[in-house]
Amino acid sequence: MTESLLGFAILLVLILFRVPIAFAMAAVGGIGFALLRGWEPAWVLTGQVAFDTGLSYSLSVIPLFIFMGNVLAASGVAHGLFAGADRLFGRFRGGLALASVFSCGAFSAVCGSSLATAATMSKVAMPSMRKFGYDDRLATGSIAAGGTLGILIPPSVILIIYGLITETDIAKLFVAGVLPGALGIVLYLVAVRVAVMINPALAPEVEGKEPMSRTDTIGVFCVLGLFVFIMAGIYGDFFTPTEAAGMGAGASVLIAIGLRSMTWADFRAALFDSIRATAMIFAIIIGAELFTNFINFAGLPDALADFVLDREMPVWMVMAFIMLVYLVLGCVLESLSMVLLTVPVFYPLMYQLPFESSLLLDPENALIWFAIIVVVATEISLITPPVGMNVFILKAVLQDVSLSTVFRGVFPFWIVDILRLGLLIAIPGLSLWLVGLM
Amino acid sequence: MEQHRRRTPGQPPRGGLALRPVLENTLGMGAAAILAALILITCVDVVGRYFFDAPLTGAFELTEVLVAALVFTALPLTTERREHVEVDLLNAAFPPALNRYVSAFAGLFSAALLATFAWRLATHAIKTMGDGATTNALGIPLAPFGFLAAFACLVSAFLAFLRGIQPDDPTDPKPEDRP
Repeated sequence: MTESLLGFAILLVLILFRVPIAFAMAAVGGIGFALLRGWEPAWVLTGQVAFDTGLSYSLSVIPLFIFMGNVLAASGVAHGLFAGADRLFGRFRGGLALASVFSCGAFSAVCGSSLATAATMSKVAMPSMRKFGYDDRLATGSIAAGGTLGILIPPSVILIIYGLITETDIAKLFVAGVLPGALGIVLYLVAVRVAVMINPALAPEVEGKEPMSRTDTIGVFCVLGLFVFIMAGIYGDFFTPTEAAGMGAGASVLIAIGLRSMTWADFRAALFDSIRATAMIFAIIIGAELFTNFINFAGLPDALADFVLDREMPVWMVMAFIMLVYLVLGCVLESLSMVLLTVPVFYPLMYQLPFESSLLLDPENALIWFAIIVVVATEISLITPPVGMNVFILKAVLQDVSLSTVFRGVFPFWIVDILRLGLLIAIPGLSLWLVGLM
Repeated sequence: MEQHRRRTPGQPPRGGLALRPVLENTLGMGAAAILAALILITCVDVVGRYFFDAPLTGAFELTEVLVAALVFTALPLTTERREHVEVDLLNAAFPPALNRYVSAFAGLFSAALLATFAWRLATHAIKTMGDGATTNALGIPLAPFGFLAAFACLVSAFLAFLRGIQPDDPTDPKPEDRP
């Protein structure tokens, strides 16, 4: 216990001194393990973990899904989604903001990363909202918040990694993310409407329609088709999530070629971005594995479980405490490292807590439910100051907007996110209903 | 604030060291080709299985070894661009001179760690070679991938070391980017 906490403290110091998170975790984990167990086993373990993590079949989904998202981002389908969504919501005041939220959700369905979703949609949706005189707060807020759905609506890089840490079925995790993601879209739409009702100056009284070309229409059907193809393939057991990623990546290249909107340079950039992101993510995974190995060996998860169960703490209190940890850590850490550092500590609790809901008595269900809650808590951290990553993405794309503008714009969405987190914790059925139908 | 550094296309090579094009044309092209191969293998396997009743033998193993090759080949590219996730929450609070030392420390720390990994991966690869470990169906020897991983870590260690002795970071956020 003491060793683990000391390890966490040293890790935090290293991270604050700008050592890349992956390397800091590897160093603390490796040296910590060596001090507890001896240098020889630690050395052997280091080489083995690094090599075996690379040699992982199930992790191959990561480069494939990242590439799929990057290719589709370059293929121009995002504009189609935005224009299509404007056909649905254009008659309401704040129509383009509603369309931004909705199209972010739609793009999430083919993109596993929140940052990529926000970056892609901001390039598509911001120019129109600016042209028609939207307040920057509403415009940037709706994209930054909408983009967070990227890691909840399948495919999702975070859910894949959660599945690997906890040995939960990735197909089930994906299915579990669908309804909470849809709930997220609905609540964000409500947030836009309420924000505009309270302060009508946020959105113009009249706005033009976003033009929609034939290519845009085809793009919408391609995205829809691709999502249905991937989900039906996984759901119907036609292929594994890993194969779905490869097929999706292949299909996305065909879509991009068919739409003729992607240049060679775009394609090359999509490839190179994907491989660099892959190395970045695997470095974090390897580091986190070494670190987790150390805290497991030092007995932190067991000590935590004993602490909670001996005192017979009520479930809601435990969950509230865990959520608090996520919201606080979210202020400092990036989402993937946060999930990798915390999930190994908390997940053993999920099959020991005395839940009241009969759904959660099945340990696998409890782990799936916890996955969705962790992802939504992570989503919230993406738009919470001081480090809300999605807010920084918007700021990077739109140089002339100040960070505080985006953070203020995100506030209504932050409120409904907290509401959603509460709903998902209180009603496990929201996450587990579709899984039960599988 | 924290930076999850993402690519900016067309960014000029920095510091007069034209390392980036060299890396991209060698390791980068290799990794890109591996990624393309990964996609192709899955598609051929699945399409073959359903439409021609002829799945690709050893698709599983090929995927495994190619992912390992992809990850390690791409590592130097990520390291060179300083795209490993770092937290620069304290940057705004520190004076610029101190920030240089912090950045140098981070670079040297990373270099030492990556060099350790290179050493351990090489040792692991030698052992694997001694055991004659191969994949199950296709009999692909695993040792070369271990040596590749060790080599890539060594290159990455060198690139991180360069940052250690040349800590100015042109990708640093400008002051007005900070909250």
